[in-house]
Amino acid sequence: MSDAESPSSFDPTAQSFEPVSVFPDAEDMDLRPGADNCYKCTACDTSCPVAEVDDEFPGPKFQGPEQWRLKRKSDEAVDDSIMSCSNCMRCDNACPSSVPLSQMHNTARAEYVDEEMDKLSREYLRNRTLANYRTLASVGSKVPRLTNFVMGNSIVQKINEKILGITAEREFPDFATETFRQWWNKRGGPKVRSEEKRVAYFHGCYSNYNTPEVGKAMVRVFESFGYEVVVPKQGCSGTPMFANGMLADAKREAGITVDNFSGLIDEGYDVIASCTSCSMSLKQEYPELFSMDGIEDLSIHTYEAMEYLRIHEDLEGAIADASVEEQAFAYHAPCHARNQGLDRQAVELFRDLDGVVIEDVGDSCSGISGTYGWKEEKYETSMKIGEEMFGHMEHSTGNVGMTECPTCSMQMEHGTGYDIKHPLQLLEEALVE
Amino acid sequence: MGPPSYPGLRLEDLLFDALDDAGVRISDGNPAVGYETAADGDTLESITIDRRGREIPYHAEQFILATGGLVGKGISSDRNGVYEPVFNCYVPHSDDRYQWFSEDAFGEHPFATFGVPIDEHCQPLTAEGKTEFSNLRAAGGVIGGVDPTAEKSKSGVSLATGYAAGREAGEAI
Repeated sequence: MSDAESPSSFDPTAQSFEPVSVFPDAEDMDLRPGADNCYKCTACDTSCPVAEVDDEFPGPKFQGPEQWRLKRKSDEAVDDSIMSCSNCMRCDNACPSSVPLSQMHNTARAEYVDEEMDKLSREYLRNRTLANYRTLASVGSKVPRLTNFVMGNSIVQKINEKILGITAEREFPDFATETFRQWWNKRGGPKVRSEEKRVAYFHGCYSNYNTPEVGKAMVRVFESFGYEVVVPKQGCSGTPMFANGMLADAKREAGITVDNFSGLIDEGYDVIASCTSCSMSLKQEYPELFSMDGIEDLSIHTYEAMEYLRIHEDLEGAIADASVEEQAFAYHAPCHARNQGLDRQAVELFRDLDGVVIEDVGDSCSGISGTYGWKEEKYETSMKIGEEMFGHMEHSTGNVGMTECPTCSMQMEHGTGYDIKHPLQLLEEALVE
Repeated sequence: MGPPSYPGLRLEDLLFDALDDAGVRISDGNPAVGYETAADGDTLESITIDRRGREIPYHAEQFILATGGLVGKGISSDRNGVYEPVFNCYVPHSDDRYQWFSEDAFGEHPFATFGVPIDEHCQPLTAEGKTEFSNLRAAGGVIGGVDPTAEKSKSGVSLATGYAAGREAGEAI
C-alpha cells in the first residue's frame, strides 16, 4: 500500500503535452444530441449568475447549443465571451432536457484557448498559472511562513495585479505550516483497518496545503464510523483547468487520479472528496471529457464525504444524540454541491444538532467560481454576483460561515470578514471524542 | 424558469417554510429513474435516484408523483408510444401516432390531454381502472384528461391536486 507516500515527484510544469494539439478529443465528442435536445426554453440563461450581472455576456444557451450549431455551418471561431463563463455549471441543473451545457462550454473554451489565445499573452500565462494552483502551492508550502509573508505583502499584490492580472483586492489564503499529507505521514497512515468499510480520500489541493484541518476532520470522522481511510498519491482534480480551458492539463491530472484510485476501487474502496468541486470533477467532468480505462468506474464510485455518510451510516441518529457548544452558522451551498443534489445536506443535518443554529443564506452563487474571481478583469463581476450572499450572511443569526467549497469560503470571508468552517469540522466536533 | 406570479411565489415560500418546520428532507438536482416494491408488488418501498451514475434508493411510506407533463418531461413519448417514465403508469393514448393530434391547428389535440388518469384519491389508475400502487398519488401536470392550456386551468389543477394528494398522503401515514 502506497498510501503513506507523499504526492508524486511529478512536475506539472513540465511540458509533457503540447498545448496546441489537445483538441481532437473534443472533435470526437458527439455533441449533436445535446444541441438537438435544446428547445430554447432559456431556463439555463435565467439560472446563469454571470448573465445576471454582466449585460455583455450572451449566456449559456448561446455558449452551448447555439454556438455549436453556428459552427456546423462554417468554420466560425469560438466567441471570446466563453472566457467569461465561470463554469459554475448551474445551467446543467436548470435544463429540463438534459442538454450537457457545461460539457459544451468546456469543449468550446478549450477550443478557444487552443486556437484563438496567444500562448505568450499575459492572459494565457496568468490563466495557466492559476489553473495549475497545485504547482504554486506545492512550492509555496515548502516554506509556508515565508510564502504567507511575501504573498501578504501589499507591494507583491500590486505587482501580481500589474504584471499577471491577479487582483490585488484579495488576500492570498495562508499556507498551513504542516500540510495534510505531512500530518498523515507523521501519524503513520490509517488508524483503522477494515475489509468491509474502506474509502480512499481525494483531499485535493486546498485541504492539503491550506486547510489541513478539513482533511484531518474527514479522516477522524470516517474512522469513528469504523472506516479504513487511505490517502493515495494524487494531483489536482482538474477543476481550475476546465474553467480555464486547459484541457490538456486537466487530462494529465485526470490520468494521475485514475491511475492511483482505480486499483483501490477494485479492492472495494469508494472514493471520497471533501471539496464539492473535486467530487463534481471526478463524477461528471472526467467521463464527459475524457475517455480512459477506469474513468467511468471512478466516476460511479466517487462521493462527497457527507453524502457518503448520509447514505451508508445513520448520521441523523448520531447527530441527534450529540451536542456541541453553542454556535451559529450562515451556510452557503456551493453551485457544484447544488448540481450534485447536496445543497440541503448540511442544513438538514445540523439543524438537529444540539447547540447549533444554522441558516441557509439562499440559492445565489458566491461569485468567485474558483480562479474566476481572482482575475483582475473579473473581480468586479465576481463581487457583484456575491452581493446577494454577503447580504444574506449579514442578516443571518450566525457569525461564522459554513460551506464545502474552498473558493466559496474565500469569497464568504472576503465579503463579510467571517471565519468559515467546513461541515466536516462540525461533524468532527460533534462525533469524535 | 421564471416565477409564476406573486401568489405563486408566496405560496412557494409558505410551503418551504412549512417543510422546514416539519423537518422534511428536500433533495433535487438528481432524477428519479426507478422504484422498488414490497413483495406484494403493489406497495412502493423506495424510489431510485440516479446520482451521477450511482443509483441510490430513497425510502418512504407514501409517494407523490409530481413530475410535470409533456413539456416538463413527466410524460415522455417516442415513435412507439406515450409513457410515464418513473413508474411506467398507464397513459391512455392511441396506438396510431397520427391520432395524437388534430389537423386543425386550433382544434382539440389529444396530446394536450396526455397524462395519468387518477381516481378520487389522486391515485394513478391502470388501464383496467385499478390503482397502480397502493401508496402512490399524482399531482399537477402529470395528470391527464385535462387540456390546461386551452382551459387555462393549469394553476387550478396543480393547486387542487397538490393539496388533495398531499393531504391524503399525510393522513395515510
